[in-house]
Amino acid sequence: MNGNGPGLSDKRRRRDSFLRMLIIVFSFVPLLVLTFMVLTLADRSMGTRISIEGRPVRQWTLLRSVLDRDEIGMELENCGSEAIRSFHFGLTPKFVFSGPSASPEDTGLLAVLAGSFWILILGLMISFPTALLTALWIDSSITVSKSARIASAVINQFMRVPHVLYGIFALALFGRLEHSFPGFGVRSVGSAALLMALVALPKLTVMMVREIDLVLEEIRTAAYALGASWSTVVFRQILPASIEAVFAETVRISAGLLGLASPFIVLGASQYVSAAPRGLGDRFIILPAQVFQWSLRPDEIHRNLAASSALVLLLCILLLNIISYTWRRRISRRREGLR
Amino acid sequence: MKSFRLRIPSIGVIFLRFGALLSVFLLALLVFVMAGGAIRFFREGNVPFGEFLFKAAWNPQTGAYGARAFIGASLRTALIAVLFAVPWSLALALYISDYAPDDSKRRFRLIQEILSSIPAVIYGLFALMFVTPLLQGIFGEGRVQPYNTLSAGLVLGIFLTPYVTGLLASALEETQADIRTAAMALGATKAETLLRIVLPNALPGFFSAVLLGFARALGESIIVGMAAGAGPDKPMMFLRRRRPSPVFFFAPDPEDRIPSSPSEPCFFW
Repeated sequence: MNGNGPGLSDKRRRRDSFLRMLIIVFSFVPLLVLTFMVLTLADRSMGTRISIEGRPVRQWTLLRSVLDRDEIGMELENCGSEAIRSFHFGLTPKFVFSGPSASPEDTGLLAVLAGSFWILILGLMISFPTALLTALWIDSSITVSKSARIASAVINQFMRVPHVLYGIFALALFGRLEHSFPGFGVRSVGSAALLMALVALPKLTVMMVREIDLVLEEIRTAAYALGASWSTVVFRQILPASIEAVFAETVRISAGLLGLASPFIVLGASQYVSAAPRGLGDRFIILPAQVFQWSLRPDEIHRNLAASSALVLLLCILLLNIISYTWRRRISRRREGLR
Repeated sequence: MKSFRLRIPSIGVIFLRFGALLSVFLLALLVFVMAGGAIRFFREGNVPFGEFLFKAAWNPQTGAYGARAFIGASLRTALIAVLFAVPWSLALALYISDYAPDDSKRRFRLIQEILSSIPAVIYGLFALMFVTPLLQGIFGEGRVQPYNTLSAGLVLGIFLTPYVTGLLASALEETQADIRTAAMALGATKAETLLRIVLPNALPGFFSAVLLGFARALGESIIVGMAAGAGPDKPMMFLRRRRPSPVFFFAPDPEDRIPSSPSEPCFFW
């Protein structure tokens, strides 16, 4: 199959194996880069710290604290006798599960994580039913209705709209709403959830149309042949047959939504919140926006916070992806059994 | 029973139509708000469209709204990104479609899925914490500023890789299996099949993948905002700090924030 028969000239054979080598080497470059990415985050999330009276003054990354031992020793002497040198881990349970604090050394991610998941869940609660209805309508009437075709094309186009534009749109629209209804805040959890719903809508709809399309044509035809009405086919056959896969795919999409920062930064994510959100009117903060804000600070201590919280974000996303992947594998195995 | 059955369909249809209408309405609203903002900006701000596109001066206090610097920087960053992303993506797509054993294809698909769900902030952190210091090490600390377009472009390229790979892989899969088999049967090596048969066949798909990748690179804001910074400097060199156009929505000064830039929607549709 690989064509390396005995009749090949040396030149052709060399060329063939050269291309093979080239492709394999090149295709591992992205993986290599991503390994570097995780290593960089890990390197930045821990390191040597010099603190005076419990307050961190300077920090070095893991690599730097191994390489620049002498420099750190000199710095320690310069800082005076009260300075203490310690090794600091960024990614500790205390960091993930404690509440926010004004000082960077004992701030925690709990409020930010809560905000992130609240906004994600509220947004999905709005857009999941809407997307499901849209997808069912598009799937069942795309062959007969021109408006369904137009709707499908429009939604497909919106997949390519960059995420920032959603943020600008929400800012413009909610700003006007705030003007007419004073109780409505642009920078609140409620409007962030609406924005999340808006961003999720085209993604969810396209995914659901694809999943519903996978339902066996035989099921539809058989149901119609037995005299079922259109809506009985849709709600009693197609929906139950596809809903589990839709849920599994929704978990995958929500992993992507969890990492979305740009629209929420445009909408006005807070720099700092003092507690987890208690109501829809509270100011909001989400994890990726927090990473963004910390990363713009020039000092090493905030960069360390940014790297540690980026690792937390990465872990959440990996977890959601793994859940979705195993769920989808189980569904597809069951489907293969059915066939 | 009969009447029950007759009632349900109508409610069902209305229900579905309502959902679909709602989502299409919301998305149409997005376009209208954008277009309205852009029109108001050009009318009331007395800014001619050509001036906005091609003039370099950006100074909202004096009413000079020239976005050429932003648009140019955007295009340049996206160009670096696409040029950087295409070789790896093509190699990965070829590896997945032609070289990988069948059972490892699924693993590759999973890896690709996980990669494409890594958030942009993390790529931005990577640019800030790894690529810029690396570039400073290579070119010298004085010549590479902490915020520069080159590292933004390179990291944007890595960010694009899984997306472009997916598009390229589906373009390659469109080449029919029997053409490949026929080429092999005529005694072509795998390399010859790929270079002379599969790639020319997949060329249109290749171009559309590159264009889509370019559009996506133009629209990505957070990596560029973190790696290239957001200052309206005059664009001179690749290693200087630059403000590519999606980023100017992050401007903290409300004076700096225009309602909408029409150049953005134009690029993506």
